[in-house]
Amino acid sequence: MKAWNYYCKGYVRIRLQSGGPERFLNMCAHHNIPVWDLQNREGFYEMNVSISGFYQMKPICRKTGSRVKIIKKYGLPFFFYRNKKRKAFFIGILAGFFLLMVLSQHIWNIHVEGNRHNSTQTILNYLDEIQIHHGILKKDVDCSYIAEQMRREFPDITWVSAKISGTRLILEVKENATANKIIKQTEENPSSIIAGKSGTIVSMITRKGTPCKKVGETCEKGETLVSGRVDIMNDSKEVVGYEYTESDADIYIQSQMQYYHEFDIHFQKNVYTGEAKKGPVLQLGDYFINLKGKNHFDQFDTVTKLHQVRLTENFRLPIFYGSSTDYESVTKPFKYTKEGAEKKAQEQLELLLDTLREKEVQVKENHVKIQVLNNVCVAKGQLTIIEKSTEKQPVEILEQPAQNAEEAEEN
Amino acid sequence: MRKKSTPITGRIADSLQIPKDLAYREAIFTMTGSRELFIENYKCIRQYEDTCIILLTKHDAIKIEGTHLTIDYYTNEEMKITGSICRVSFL
Repeated sequence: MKAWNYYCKGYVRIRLQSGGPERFLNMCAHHNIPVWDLQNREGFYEMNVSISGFYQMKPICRKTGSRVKIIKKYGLPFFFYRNKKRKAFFIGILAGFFLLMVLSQHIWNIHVEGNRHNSTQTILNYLDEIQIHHGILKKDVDCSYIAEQMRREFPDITWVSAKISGTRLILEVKENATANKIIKQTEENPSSIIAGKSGTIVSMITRKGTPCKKVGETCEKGETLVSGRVDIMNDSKEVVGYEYTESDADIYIQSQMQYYHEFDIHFQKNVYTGEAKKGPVLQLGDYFINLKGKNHFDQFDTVTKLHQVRLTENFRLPIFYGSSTDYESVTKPFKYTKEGAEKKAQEQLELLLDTLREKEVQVKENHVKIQVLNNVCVAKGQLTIIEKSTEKQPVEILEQPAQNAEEAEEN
Repeated sequence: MRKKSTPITGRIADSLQIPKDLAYREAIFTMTGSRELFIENYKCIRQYEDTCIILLTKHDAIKIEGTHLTIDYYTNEEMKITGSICRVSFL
């Protein structure tokens, strides 16, 4: 900091030749002349001294019989003096400061943190809708308004803090993962549970509603399994009223699934020759500039890798750069062996079984057989699966029984 | 070394637990390894050479020996010496 102060005010490096340099130095200290970086060269001394200090040294030199010579001048006053003819340079500096001042009035980075369920891009898109975007003037940004609007738009965001730090708009959010579920639960509509497919019920746990089927019974697709209407009965087992609820149950249905898959053991496959042509690509908005040139390949695949240019963390420009590579390929005929074909068919079947497992479908029995006949590999059979295949259907609202209606009239 | 007599003001300052540098106007030396030496409460420079600096304090003369000795800065009261210091002695 002190060095910067000296640089701003300007200083000189001087060479001192004196019979008694110590006296000169002591007198400088006595007159509070700042002297630094003092070095003893052979026969003379070199030191830095401020401009004002240099002028104060005149009487000291006279008293001590010293000779002082300026070696070099440092600092802004000398810099400006040397460059006084370079007007454009100073105009450039001023213009730079002006630009910095103007640009610092805008928001150039919108930073979102704490979000897990709502992606940053989703939040940025919404901010764009409420006219909060990169480059907006800082004075046009109302942080409390943004926080309020975000809480309204994203119900699972329980807390939002918006603040401006420099040219950054920082949004800190806290999400509540269970908020959505709670909201869904409160919006209850009376509904029944119907079978999604035909089969046998193997497990049934009813939490809400009236069960219409039992474990072990068969059901048809669309048949009501749990009714959303609950009959209210009196002591004589007569229906005196109805209540409606959103039925809730876990019902597992066992059903048969037919599987058939065939493929020719002769097939064609693209094989890369190893020849490739690579080149840079540039995308400016909708314009695509390929600097790779044309290739001489008859058949090829192109792999393009693009990176988007961004000024700040989330301020992306419509400019992409990257590379594009053409890989030459040729189509060649291949043939599966019997074992190879069976293996491929088995893999296909495993893929299906994995997909079923991911969907929480339990495979109870697998009766799929794989055969290779007349150059065709066929995998066919039956799978016995147990799954939670149910759908919801709105309940038909019935009129309340006559007796109940009469009671209501009496009241 | 010369024997120092404790002045009455010094004894009073001692009883009041005032620091020694204020009570006796003694010099304070702060060394950082053998590279830097920071001196407070010195009176004047007696001699300055590349290998030897002699300073006067109120009671003593201090000789600092070494190589490439440079005075980083100095004022009426304090001084910072850098270089390769190998000996500090009281004359």
